[in-house]
Amino acid sequence: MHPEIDRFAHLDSLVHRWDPRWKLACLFLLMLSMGLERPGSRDHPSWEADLPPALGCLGFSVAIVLLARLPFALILTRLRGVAWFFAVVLIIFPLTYPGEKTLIGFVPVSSTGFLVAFLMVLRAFAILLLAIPAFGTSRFDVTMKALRRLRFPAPLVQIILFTYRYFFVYSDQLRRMLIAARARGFHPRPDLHTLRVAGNGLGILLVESIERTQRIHGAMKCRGFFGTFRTLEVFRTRAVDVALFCGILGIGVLLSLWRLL
Amino acid sequence: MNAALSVSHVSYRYPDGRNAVTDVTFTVDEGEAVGLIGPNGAGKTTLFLLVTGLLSPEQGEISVFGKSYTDEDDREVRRRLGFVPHGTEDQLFSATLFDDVAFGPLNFGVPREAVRARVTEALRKVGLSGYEERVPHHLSSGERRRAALATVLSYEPDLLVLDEPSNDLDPRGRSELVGLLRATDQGRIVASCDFEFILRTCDRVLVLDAGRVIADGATADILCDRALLEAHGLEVPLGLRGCSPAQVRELLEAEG
Repeated sequence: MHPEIDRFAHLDSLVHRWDPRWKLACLFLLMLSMGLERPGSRDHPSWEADLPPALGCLGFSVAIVLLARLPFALILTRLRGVAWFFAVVLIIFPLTYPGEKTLIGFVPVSSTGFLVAFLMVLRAFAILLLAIPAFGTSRFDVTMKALRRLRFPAPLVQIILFTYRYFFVYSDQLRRMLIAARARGFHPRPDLHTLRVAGNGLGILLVESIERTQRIHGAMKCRGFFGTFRTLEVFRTRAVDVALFCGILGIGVLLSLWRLL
Repeated sequence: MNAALSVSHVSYRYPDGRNAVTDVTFTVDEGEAVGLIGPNGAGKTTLFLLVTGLLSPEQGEISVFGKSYTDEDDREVRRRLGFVPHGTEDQLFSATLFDDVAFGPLNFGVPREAVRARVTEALRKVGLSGYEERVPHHLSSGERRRAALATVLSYEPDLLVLDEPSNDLDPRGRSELVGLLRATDQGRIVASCDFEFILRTCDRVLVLDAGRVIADGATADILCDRALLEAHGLEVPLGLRGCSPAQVRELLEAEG
């Protein structure tokens, strides 16, 4: 269990106990339905018609996060980085959206553009929130095995698993290289020398990673690997897994239909 | 006794033209414990890569329990041979230690219900019970070394090929590994610069230098041969200096 990536996996809740396959399938479909919501709203968006469904999506995502007993304040803190992206969307859209514009000072601003951006941010935030119970309430390796059981392409799952396994190995190595460089008087500055040192370091890591890949493949071959990953993970579907799937997805579908109704 | 490993006139040259192994011939019998010593760059690791089929010899033949890697039944050859390389990060590539230790048995067709028991037993043998869900990256170097051994013990190979197995181990970990290897009836070939470890775990030693086998004999005889060792950049371990091979054997017998 990785202390950072699997930080919430040890908690206990209905969502944590949910069979990872059903959980992933359900929450992924829910995210998809939120993301693919028909932009009838984009042609003639209005606060009255479009805001309630978007707020409904966000509220539902918050409810699932709370159902998973995840520390909401901490999650908000971790999503701080994305807020910058949202801020950019909220600024750019009103300035560039076609159609009628109102002058605020000397800047022409589209109120429709702001509404579209705001709806987009709400939905994107709702989707991001859902990703946390989807991927954070089971151990990462279990989630990957569940993805595999859901017929997610094996090479992709293996690449993600290897990235998970070796990302921190290389981060550590990079940190050690930096310490070694600093011990010999290197101070990173915005100059060509620093870029050269950084480039050399990354180059060494790249070459080493290629060699390591070959060694790992050798070690796998020695232990009988001939292209198929086998796993002992056993997933069992219970009635509650199916009930949760149907219940949550049903509400998601109703939310998607809200705008149409 | 049947040969577990037979290496016959094997040579290998790296793509840069450097001879790594030259006309090496030796056999390891079933259940035999053989040490492989030599200075840095002698070709020990390359020889292991050849023995495990990860490199193909330019000349000569290698067979494991009578079968070569060119035979169709490659998997059976690999199942009988457990290779633990020097770099443990390369051996432990899974997300959890359980998955790493279960990797071999699952690939070699051990019944799924038996795999869990195999993993538990292998981890117990190396003193890592309860570490099943740990991320290999977060183990200490000594723990990783022991975990790497567990990854092959779990599929019960007939011949262990261990490259520097005592590296990174503290004295207690090393003693436990010695005890573990002595208790097993599996054959083994161990490359190490730790001569005391070789003395306590191997009955026979091969000396490799510049890719050639220089000497092949009983461990006590080789490790007490000061002239031979010094001629090849090695030295008699401090504890054995002034001892005769007979005294060393007595010492080992006394240790049990």
